[in-house]
Amino acid sequence: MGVFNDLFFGFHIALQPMNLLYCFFGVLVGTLVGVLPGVGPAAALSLLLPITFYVPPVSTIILLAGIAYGAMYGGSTTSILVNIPGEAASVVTCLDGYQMARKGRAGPALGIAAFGSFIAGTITIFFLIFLAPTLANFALKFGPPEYFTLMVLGLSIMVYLARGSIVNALIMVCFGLILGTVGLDPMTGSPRFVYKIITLMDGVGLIQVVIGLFGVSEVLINVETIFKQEIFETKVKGLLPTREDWRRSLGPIGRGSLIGFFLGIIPGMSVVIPTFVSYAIEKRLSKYPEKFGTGMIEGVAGPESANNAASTGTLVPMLSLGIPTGAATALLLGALMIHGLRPGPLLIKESPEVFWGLVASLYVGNAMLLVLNLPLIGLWVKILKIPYHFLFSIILLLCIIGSYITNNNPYDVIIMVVFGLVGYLMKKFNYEAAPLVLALVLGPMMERAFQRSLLLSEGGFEIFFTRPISASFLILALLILLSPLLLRKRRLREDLRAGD
Amino acid sequence: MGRIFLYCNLFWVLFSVITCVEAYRLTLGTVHEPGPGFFPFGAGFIMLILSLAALLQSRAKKQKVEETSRQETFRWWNILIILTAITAYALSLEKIGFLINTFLFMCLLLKVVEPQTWKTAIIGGLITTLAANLVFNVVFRTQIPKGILGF
Repeated sequence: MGVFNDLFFGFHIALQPMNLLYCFFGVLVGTLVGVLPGVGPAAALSLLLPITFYVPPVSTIILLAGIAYGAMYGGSTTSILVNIPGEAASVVTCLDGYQMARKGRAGPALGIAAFGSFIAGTITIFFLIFLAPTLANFALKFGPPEYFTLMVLGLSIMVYLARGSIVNALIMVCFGLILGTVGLDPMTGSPRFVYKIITLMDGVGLIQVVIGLFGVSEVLINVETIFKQEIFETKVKGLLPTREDWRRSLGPIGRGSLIGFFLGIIPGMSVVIPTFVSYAIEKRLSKYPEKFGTGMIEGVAGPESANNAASTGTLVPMLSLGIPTGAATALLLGALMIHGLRPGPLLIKESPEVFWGLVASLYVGNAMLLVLNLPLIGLWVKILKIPYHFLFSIILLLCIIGSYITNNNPYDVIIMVVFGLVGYLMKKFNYEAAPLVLALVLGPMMERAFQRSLLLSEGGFEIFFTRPISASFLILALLILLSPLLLRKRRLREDLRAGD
Repeated sequence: MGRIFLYCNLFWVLFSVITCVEAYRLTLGTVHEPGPGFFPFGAGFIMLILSLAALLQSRAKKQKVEETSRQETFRWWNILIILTAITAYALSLEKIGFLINTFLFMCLLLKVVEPQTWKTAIIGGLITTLAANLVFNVVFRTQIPKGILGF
């Protein structure tokens, strides 16, 4: 009964007029950034984070979470209608969603994407309710070595999943960790890598780095050539899926919800991978796998449910352990800390209104998205027709304002410019930004946990290997990092055998 | 193009060496009592090993760089203009103020980066400036400098 009382308390908070308004604003902005290619939820969260300084903590988290899961809805709309994934998490939806639209079935594709997301959102909220407090209680047993090794595991997964070379991704992790040490040393208070630049005393700002790496760099990539904006006209008729559509979609929605939520919990997994896993599973389970890519509704229902479920799943380690799983949750975590809250195992007990208010708002927000988005589809497609020269100018202006108002410091904007250029070069030379951002966020936490572990063990590194939980985290991390090497060796041996 | 990756990895080698040297100067401390340079030295050292490995890898195999196709002009000046304009915007914001700065910035982007007519640039700049002022100064009451106009 306790859980339902708490949930009722959460709805009491989420349904307050101001919180409803923030939730509405959040999901609306989220859908907008989901629709627009190049502006991801991480950049949008960074831009709006400074504004939330003037908003109560519960409303802040409701608003920002709304952006994160609202983006998943927006991304699917453009994937289906115009074959442009507004979000990385909607890339896979293009495969069958756009083909359905070309066959005149855009309505059912959009409908099943929205209903699937809503169902996944609803199911996974219950998982969150039961899992987050349980994990938080378990995490009370964690000491500094367990936290340190858990963060090592999260970074390893992020590296493993990065596109391209693992070595490059590891270099990005180290770069992020080094950037995280800029500023005052937490133990001694002495300045590190500051070089008499006062702005760097507080460290390299996460908001400026994220805006630079994801927002500015995307604009730079687009303006270096003549940007071709092609919009295809698709007519949308009848959004309600047929009974047959439902019959074929219920299984993928259920599986997508489970896959999305449980993969989303794993730090580093983000919301993108679960969509690909869901698509691959649906294809494998289908009686007609060869038809995937030609407009199969299962190929829309599964991944769309998975990305929404994953965005709820990513909240579990953030709320129960205080560990972000990617750039978006890192910013949510930052927002909680700005408001004086202590994310971690005690958050649910110390600030129940934040946890339960957020949980209830997830449900309210999902319902809002379902009711609002289907009638607004025409508007979102029109937004895509805004000429890019207007769009990029507005994006850049928002980037500047977002960076400036964090501390009202013009030099923060310069930091953003530097990271805009760094992000541009990283994109050109195939380096991924996500491991860098996660390492930048986890860096200071890792350093503290590492130093405390060494103090605890009186200077012995064996503390990481002798405690069962931390040892298992380390073994897992090692296996994950070494697996590509082992797989390559096995493949090489098989190739040699085939050659004989 | 393989040379570019070689230079990239050389950059990371250099960066990690500088990090290690600077971290060492911060004092490393001991394992019992780690100093402020201990953690960044460790990260820099691991980075050095990785970038050396990447350097050897880049010598061994050729990688593809994301190039603009030969038919498309690489408009490097747009990147330079944008980065310079943002820097100038930031440095002059407190003196000139939000309204004038934003208007000039938007006109510059609309006229120079993706050239539009003067009319479009001025009207676009004006509308964006007023809308941004409404959202950030009136609705959210953020403290963006007013500058010489005083409002």
